[in-house]
Amino acid sequence: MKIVLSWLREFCPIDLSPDALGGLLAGKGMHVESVLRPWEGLEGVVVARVLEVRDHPSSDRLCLARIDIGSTEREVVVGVRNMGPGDLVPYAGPGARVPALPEPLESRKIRGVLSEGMICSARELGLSADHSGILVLAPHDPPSAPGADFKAAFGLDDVVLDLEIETNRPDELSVVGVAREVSAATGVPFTPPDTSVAEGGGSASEAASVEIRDLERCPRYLARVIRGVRIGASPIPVQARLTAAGMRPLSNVVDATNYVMLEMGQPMHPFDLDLLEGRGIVVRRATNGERLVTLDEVERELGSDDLVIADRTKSVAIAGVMGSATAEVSETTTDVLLESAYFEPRGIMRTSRRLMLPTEASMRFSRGADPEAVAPAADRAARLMIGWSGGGTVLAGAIDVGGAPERKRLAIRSERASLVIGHEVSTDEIVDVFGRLGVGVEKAEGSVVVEVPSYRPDLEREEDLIEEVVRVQGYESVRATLPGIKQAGDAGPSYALRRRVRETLVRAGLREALSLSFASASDLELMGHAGGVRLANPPSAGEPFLRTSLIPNLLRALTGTLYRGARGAALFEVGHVFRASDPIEEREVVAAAITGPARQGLYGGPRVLDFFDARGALEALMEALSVGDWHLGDTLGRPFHAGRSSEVVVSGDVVGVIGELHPALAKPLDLPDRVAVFELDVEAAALHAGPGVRYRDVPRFPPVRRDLAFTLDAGIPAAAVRAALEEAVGDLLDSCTLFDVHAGAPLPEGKKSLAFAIDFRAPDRTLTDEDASVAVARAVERLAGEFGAELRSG
Amino acid sequence: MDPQEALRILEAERTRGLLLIAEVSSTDELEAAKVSLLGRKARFTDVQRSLGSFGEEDRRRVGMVANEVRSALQTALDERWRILSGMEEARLLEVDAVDVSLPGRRLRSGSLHPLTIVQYEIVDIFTRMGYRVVEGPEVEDQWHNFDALNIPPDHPARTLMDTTFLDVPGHPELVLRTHTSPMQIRTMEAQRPPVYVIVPGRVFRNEEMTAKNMPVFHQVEGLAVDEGISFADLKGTLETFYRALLGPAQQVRLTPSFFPFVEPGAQVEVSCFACNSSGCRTCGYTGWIETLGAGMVHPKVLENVGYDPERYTGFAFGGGYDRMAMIRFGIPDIRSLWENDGRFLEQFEGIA
Repeated sequence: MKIVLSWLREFCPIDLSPDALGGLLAGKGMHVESVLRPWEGLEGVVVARVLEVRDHPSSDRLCLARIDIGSTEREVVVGVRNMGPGDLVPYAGPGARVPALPEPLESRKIRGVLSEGMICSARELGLSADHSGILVLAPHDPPSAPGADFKAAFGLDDVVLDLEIETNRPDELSVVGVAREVSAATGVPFTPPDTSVAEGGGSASEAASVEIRDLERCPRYLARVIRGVRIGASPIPVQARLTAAGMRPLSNVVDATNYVMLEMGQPMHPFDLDLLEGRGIVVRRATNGERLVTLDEVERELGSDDLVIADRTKSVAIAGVMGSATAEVSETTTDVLLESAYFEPRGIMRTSRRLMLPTEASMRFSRGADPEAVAPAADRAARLMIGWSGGGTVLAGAIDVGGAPERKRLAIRSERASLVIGHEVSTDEIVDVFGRLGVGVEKAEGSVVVEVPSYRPDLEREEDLIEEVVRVQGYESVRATLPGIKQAGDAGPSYALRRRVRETLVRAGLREALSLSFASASDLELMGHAGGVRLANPPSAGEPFLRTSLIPNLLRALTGTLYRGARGAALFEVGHVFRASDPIEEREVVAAAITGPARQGLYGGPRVLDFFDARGALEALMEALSVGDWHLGDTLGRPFHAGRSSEVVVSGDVVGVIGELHPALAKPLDLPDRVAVFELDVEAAALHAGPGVRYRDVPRFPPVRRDLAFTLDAGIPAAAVRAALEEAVGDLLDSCTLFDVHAGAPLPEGKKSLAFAIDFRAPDRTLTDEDASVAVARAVERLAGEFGAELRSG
Repeated sequence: MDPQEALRILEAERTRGLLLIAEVSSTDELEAAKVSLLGRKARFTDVQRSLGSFGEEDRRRVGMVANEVRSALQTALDERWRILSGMEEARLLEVDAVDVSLPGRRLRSGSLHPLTIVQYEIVDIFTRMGYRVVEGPEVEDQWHNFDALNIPPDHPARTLMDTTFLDVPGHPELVLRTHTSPMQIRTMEAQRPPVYVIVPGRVFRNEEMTAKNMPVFHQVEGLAVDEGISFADLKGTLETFYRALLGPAQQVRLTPSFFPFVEPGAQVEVSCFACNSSGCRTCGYTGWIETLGAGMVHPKVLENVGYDPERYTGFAFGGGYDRMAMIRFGIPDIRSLWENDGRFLEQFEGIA
């Protein structure tokens, strides 16, 4: 809401700088978004009297005007010949500045004639959009004489505060509403606008009629009739204020309604009475499919939830939103029916939203206008119309159908207010607060009964009144205390678990990434996931699903970081993934994606990160989660490398996947051949978490160490061999480390060698070589029997 | 061998020995010299072996000389050993020398995302104050996201939220949560007071990606409901929190604001720590940075979860911390939080 300071001072004559006022308003809930000085670019323009207008010697279109600027005379070349001798016009001489031009004016020759500056249109002065001709001062403009400074004479040195108004305070969408708050905050008295209007020449109810067919959607509709208006421009200071407040000056009649809307918060609409069939207003629901061309020249299709203003035969406006050209005030209008109504807020909100047509009127009605302002605002607008059009008659009385509801009365207990605010608030203080706001109260025992003003729809219950108390007293007056919390703080097991997951992967050298929660159809296809959850209005049209996996985004992140010049990257993310089911399956997973050289720089080697680096990170993760009983299960199909991938199985449940990306997929994704990923359902894995760390006695006797190398068929998994070996060694096993895997010469085709370093140890004695040899023999026999393995050395 | 011969040999061996020891240039040569001087086949050893054939007087005389010669040679050998082995060790180390100015071999750690770092800091402060962490689903129903929070259909606050709706047949109620506030409802539905919880999480607004806005961002929500909780408690809690997070000199300002689920409502600002409140681009030259919305839990919200608003009062606060992380680390463009550029992520390696 743009508040013009001089306008505000009409109702609350404060003497504060814009900054001080801004600070004061922020403390009351109206934050200043910006401080505007719309006529900063206007300087040195003076009032001039036209003495003579002649033809330009070498142009049919241009003319020359001789003007009196008080001290001297000047001659200027003019483009439009709408002024005559005796007219007062704005003159910008050499050195003067106007908002429409970036540079100060200079004398220059136009078609061979020297023009000493120019006389200006309203648009050149930043007053309105009107550029149809020179701005000629009218009799209703403030009196001025040649040579007078234009800016000072018409109040154009104004400052405008653009305020952010909370959606529950429609009353503050008006100069008067802001003035009331300023008055409450400063103690400077508030004076309401003058709504007195001289009536005559018959009564309104004889000249027109009003019928409301839906009292729920339109609880009150008031019409006044003004006869014999002369449509023309509004006074310059009025146009200036409208422009400064962000509205376009149009004509005196329309401007009067807009002016009063900005001033008092009540949107109104003027109709040309002669264009209303039967000179009557009917407020009704639209019929389904009813069409109306609104003032923005768009044809709108209406439905039965939309409220329209109609005459006997046709709709003429969408109620509370926008009028149509059908009964609009035009240059030929003489008789006006002025609408001032109260519409039910939610209905206006629905219509304006459905039509995507937010207007100044719909914004105010949908937040809740003041049902009691209907009559005084109409009076004020009628008064201004007469004043600005230099004639006309306001017919006696108003056609006022329906009415304003009775004012609510709410009690506020001082004890409750004290508890909620946190300091003692007496009934006297409460009375004082509402007195400052100009609100009527009655004091009772320990409480105050407040008569809620009709312009404050936000005051619905006691808490709302308590807020008024602390707001008017100032939030800065509240002390700072702490609640006495009688519980220990706790991150909770699930949060702590994911924290441990992150810490483990960070220690393993991975960097945490973050990606949006959306997925494209090709992401789902890549992962082979059917059943993505679709969004009705996705933020990005190309990603209409919620992600089913973190892997596609991580792969994209790898591609991006390689594209930007990195040699490799190891990334992980912890986040939610979604699958369609009823209810929707939403799970927290961790995923990692790694590619590139294992080490870089001086100590780097030719090794690239692969499946086993991913597996290493996964092992660390399982250890951190205290999951003991896990293994890799069946190999996976696309998008994984069938020979380098597997399900992750914990206690028989598949809780994740690990593998290298299928090499055929790497190229289209702009990735190197070896990209290793895993994804794990954290909570599912943790369901099988072991008891965590348990201390075992440190061995006191030395181990016997043997290195055993076996030759066996290449297809036998090392993990199976190792498990059998450990089992065969039995109780004497202290540790078993696979330290070499070898295939190729000198081994025959299809064979491989696995070499294990085994420590034998007993808890109660020093082992002999003999003890170890017996165990080795057992192991050799077992591996020979189970896998056909031959001992190569040992 | 007669005693005279023996004495002559001993003297000759002493002379030859000392010379030989002085001449050798390695410990290996010295070892060989020792063998030739004092070993089994050495002439000195021959002398010692013949001692038994001498008369007592000769045996004593020659024996004394022999001991003397052995001791002299041994001393010379030891001394020479010390020198040679020292030289050899030095040579070995010299050969093994490295350029110590070369970089060290490091175990590279990974890094947490800056948003995680900031989230941990916030959560840690509140858990120390006695709050429990709760989290909730990102797919939410409109009852929890709006209605229960006193935001009815057609309410202006609801339309301003740029909600992303799901397209799930039979479930028009599903949305991506627009704030973490639905967890106020879920928490209170699940337990009786006292409630002291902190809710970090991902939220969604259907907005264009710009340097300042993303359709996904992160909020943290706090809720305290108990007997006797006041607006002053809210103020004190936020002051304590911001001073723990940003430093003891931090100023916190509450000004009136409207959120349907709190009353009185407040906008929370902290003094700009980028410029010490003197006014800069970060704070829009106001000296204050808007960080949270807050207020006393609206009695309708308490009624919606079956709490008696006459008995219990509470406060709630919530706000995005993406901007907090940006200001904290000096990140100018919010999109860089989501690009996962290695050069961006690696900068947070040293933290946490």
